[in-house]
Amino acid sequence: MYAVELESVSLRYDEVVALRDITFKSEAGKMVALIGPNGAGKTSILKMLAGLLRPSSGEVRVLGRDPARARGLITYTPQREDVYWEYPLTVRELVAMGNIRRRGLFKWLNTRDSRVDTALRLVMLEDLASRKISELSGGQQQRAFLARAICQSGEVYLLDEPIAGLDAPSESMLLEILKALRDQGKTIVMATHDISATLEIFDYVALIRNELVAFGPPKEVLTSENLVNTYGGSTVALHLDDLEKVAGWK
Amino acid sequence: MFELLAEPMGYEFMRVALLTSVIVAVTCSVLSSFVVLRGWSLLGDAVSHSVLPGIAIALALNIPYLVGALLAGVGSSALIGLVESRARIRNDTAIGVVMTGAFATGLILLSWMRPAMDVFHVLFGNPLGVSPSDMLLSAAIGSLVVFTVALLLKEIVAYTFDPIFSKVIGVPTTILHYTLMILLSLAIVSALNTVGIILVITLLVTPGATAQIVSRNIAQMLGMSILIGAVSAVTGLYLSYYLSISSGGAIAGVATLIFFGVLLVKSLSQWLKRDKD
Ligand SMILES: Nc1ncnc2c1ncn2[C@@H]1O[C@H](COP(=O)(O)OP(=O)(O)O)[C@@H](O)[C@H]1O
Ligand SMILES: [Mg+2]
Repeated sequence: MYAVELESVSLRYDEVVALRDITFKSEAGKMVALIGPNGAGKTSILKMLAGLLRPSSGEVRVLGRDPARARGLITYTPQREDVYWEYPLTVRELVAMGNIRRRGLFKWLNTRDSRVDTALRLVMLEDLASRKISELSGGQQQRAFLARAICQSGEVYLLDEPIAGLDAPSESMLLEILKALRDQGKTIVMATHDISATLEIFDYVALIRNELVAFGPPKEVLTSENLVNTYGGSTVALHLDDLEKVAGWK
Repeated sequence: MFELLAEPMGYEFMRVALLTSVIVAVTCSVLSSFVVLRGWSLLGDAVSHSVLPGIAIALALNIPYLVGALLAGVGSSALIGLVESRARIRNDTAIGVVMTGAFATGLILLSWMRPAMDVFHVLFGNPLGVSPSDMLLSAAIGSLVVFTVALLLKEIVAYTFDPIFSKVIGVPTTILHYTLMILLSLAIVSALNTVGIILVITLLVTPGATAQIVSRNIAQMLGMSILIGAVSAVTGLYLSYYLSISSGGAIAGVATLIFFGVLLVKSLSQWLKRDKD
């Protein structure tokens, strides 16, 4: 049984064909990176795996079942921009949202659950637990999100661009936590722009540009030919000195 | 001072008006925290304007106006979602189209039928004309709103903070969304007599907005919002009594003044703090 599985999946939004004939799968306990430019279809794949969208054709399975039937086993972390961070919540309350389904009606979030403390410790946010979420840095917000997913104790972690806009230390801290989760047997599927971050850490890379350009271990997949096919020639060929030329041109 | 406060209470209509206004303000304030946090200010305005044709149609069909108002309120929020996705236009555009269209329909129907109900009172409220049975209706609606929010508080918070996550984790988000729309429509109906269709949005936005400026968590925000709503209702009603001004206008006006007062104090304290550093 595979943890995540896409079989000849296509997805269209009315006239727009967002994804065409995507096939890839991964066993449990692996880290999978979805890499591609804006509009490539990364978010759409994550939403199908989360059971939020149905493929127009083909099949999506999570842990061998229809994603809608794997609800308790899937955690989904949306792009940071999709959330209103001025919401008056503390870090602890945000994390406790992960156990919301284990709590009855009329009851407030269970912030005293030991799962909340464990999750906070894993992402190294114990000291900031009673901070307002708007008072966190971008990296801390992303780790708080991850703690919420950990608190949910799912098996498959879906993360949409969690390292976008983070500085290098925050990025490597987040990736270290994800690695630790993988080592516990969790499956991580993460959308990202950052190719270099994936090279050493991820087990599989899916290069996507509305179709699957390539899928496999990063060392095999991240060839310059594949990258040109994913990002288009001009983007990759734009080297540092070109950038300087552009900057000096103003 | 005591006499100033006690004198209006010598009249039964003033006692009923005061109690009803406070109930309505509290009902709306409870919801206003979520309206503000989810970015539903414009949607709330649309729902309140759509209540007008609902009332008109109910009068025409001789069914209770509460039913018409409720169906129109919930229907308009569903229609907005449908227009937004079908026409592929922005949410605020869909709201603008549906809201004004519904309001125009209501005005046409009411002017055509010339019902006994005074359109001006529906639009701008008339708390001094509230009957004890209206008051009981407002109290029933208020209890229902408070009960439902207490029942589903953490689910409502999760949904209004992060709807996508909530859906994936198994919170019934569609049911929750329409539950909130029903509560919103009910709150608007209960406010018809006191502040009216046009100004009810003040009570659905401003107390929550004020509370958000000073709150660190959701419990504080709900509490502050309720307090601000109640204070606005009481102060506004007294002002309208002594100054002979529109009660709905006075209540909404006080709520707005409190907002700017709190904003000013907050800005000043931040400015002083920065000076010290
Ligand atoms: N709700 C939607 N309606 C119509 N088109 C959409 C919608 N969501 C995404 N798309 C289109 O589908 C394609 C893939 O989008 P997305 O999955 O968000 O890509 P990515 O996350 O890689 O940037 C894009 O061309 C985008 O314009
Ligand atoms: Mg995306």
